[in-house]
Amino acid sequence: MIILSILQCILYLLIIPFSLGTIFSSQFDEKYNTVGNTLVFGFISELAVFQVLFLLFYKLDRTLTELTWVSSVILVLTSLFFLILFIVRKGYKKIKLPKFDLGFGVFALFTVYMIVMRNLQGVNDGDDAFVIGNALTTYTNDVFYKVDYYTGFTIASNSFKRHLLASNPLFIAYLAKVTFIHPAILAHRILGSFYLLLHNAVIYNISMLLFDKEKIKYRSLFASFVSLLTIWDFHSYLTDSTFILSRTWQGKAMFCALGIPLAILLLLMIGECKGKNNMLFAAAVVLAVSCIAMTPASIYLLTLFFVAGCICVAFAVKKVLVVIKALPMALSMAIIAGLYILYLK
Amino acid sequence: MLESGLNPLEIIKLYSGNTTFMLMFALSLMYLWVFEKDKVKKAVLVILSVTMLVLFVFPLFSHFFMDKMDEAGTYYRFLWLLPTSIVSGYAVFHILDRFKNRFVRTGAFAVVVICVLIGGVFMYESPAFYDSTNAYQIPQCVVDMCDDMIITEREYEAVFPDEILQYPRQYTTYITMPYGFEMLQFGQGQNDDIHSEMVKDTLNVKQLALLCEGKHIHYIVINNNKTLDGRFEDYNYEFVGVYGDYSMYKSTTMFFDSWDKFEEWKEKNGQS
Repeated sequence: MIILSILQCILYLLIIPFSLGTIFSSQFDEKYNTVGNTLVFGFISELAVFQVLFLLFYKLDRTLTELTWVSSVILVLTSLFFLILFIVRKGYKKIKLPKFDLGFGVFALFTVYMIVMRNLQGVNDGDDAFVIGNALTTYTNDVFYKVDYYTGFTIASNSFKRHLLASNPLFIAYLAKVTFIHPAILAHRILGSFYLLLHNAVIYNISMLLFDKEKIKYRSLFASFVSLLTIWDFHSYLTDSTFILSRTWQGKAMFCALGIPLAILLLLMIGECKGKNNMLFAAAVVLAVSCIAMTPASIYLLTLFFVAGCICVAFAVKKVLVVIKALPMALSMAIIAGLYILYLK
Repeated sequence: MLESGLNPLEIIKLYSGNTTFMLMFALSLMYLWVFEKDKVKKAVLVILSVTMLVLFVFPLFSHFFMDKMDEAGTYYRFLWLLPTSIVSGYAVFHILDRFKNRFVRTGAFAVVVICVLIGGVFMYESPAFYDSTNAYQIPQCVVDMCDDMIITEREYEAVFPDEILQYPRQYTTYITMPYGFEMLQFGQGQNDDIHSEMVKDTLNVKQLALLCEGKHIHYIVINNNKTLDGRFEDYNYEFVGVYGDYSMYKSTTMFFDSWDKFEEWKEKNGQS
């Protein structure tokens, strides 16, 4: 059973995301076709697919088992298709691994340190009563928001509706179902470690955009320095670093660890290609949908950040088209905001 | 969640603690504003950050989100949109690159790292962290309590003190509770009467036991720091054991076995 769980974790957290990610990274500029970008963009695609299916299955009053089957079939078949495409096109020859030097070793040590601490330390945080409690309740009862995750009785208040669109706890329940791992272990240990790995991959990929040509030598040092700042940023319990390192598996922390850094990465890439690469805007739409799964607050936070960022980039590269191309992302958020109002009624 | 009534500047102050990193971020923004030549990097890292910061403190904007959208408690999340670590890190290496002498550059970097270590606050000193003793990362006493409560695979109702209210249903759904974490989060919930008894410094044992028996609660968990004004044993609850800082009591009148043995139990106990 343990071996099966490990294999399923590899499938759902590495193989599927990587295969899905190849469709994005293969369209990026050659130098950004990296393992990190592939895995991260693939993972947010997986989350976005789950988010869309969850909204549908919730509205149709279906069960977690049914959602698990449909999600799994769609994800496995899609990723298989992309994987075959990747092999046929010999994408493995083009994909880039990070440059392994002393600097990268230091950065890898920081990443390992964060992951080790995540596994050694528990966190006393009340929001887990919702996140893990909801995941376990859904996993056990097989229904969405029918049983009160706090008490175990029939859900009595409508307070859950403010979280309804953020499917992260249900995503944990879904992964628990396919990996046969208790949601608390899965979230606290496996997903916590995995998200820290992805976060650091995004930071490293940002360093690739910030430091090129003769400044390449600073990449790993920059990434290590950002990790150092993150680890020493407990200035209050409100900082993004506090969320990233203490409640990594919770949606808000995922938004800090993946959502915002990925938006920065996309904006830098859009600026570099002067908005010509349409795949970057498609990735922004996927990022938007996946961020909804993390927190409903991303409806206004990410939209504001990304659209304002595109306006800044448009001025920088003198291309109004950049702003126009950002509209599908804003529109997808507007549709989700509309759904939110509809579901709340 | 933050208390409402704070203005954006007060939120920034609360957010940034001793302000070292926020100061570093502000200096980095100023430096990059002047010296960054790459327009895209300047737009994304500097102009966008300044825009977000200006919006955050802009009265109409903050009024809209804090009052109209009722997000006063979570308004601080806009500060997440400031990429403080990335901007500060980029500025540091931008400055270091200006030093042509390798030794001077290494020395300057060492000084910056020391400043970060002194000015920063180590994350793992946060009181929120505790040493994890099991795979679930749930306090061991809660895991032990729940394991002992579940006699057979069915649901049992238990009442817990506020400090551990969030944990049992992260571990198992076989434990149900008359009130849950919503009582702490929203300040209200079901069975407020039991909760108001549970939070008293001196517990009225008779009142609590009667309330719990009336609501068909199988187990009562009490913080050992509380003073009891009686014995649970006198009110149909027996002592089970001590689990860390907590004591557990079990009903002596309720049915604990699997449901297929319920009829047999009913006949044996003469209940109709």
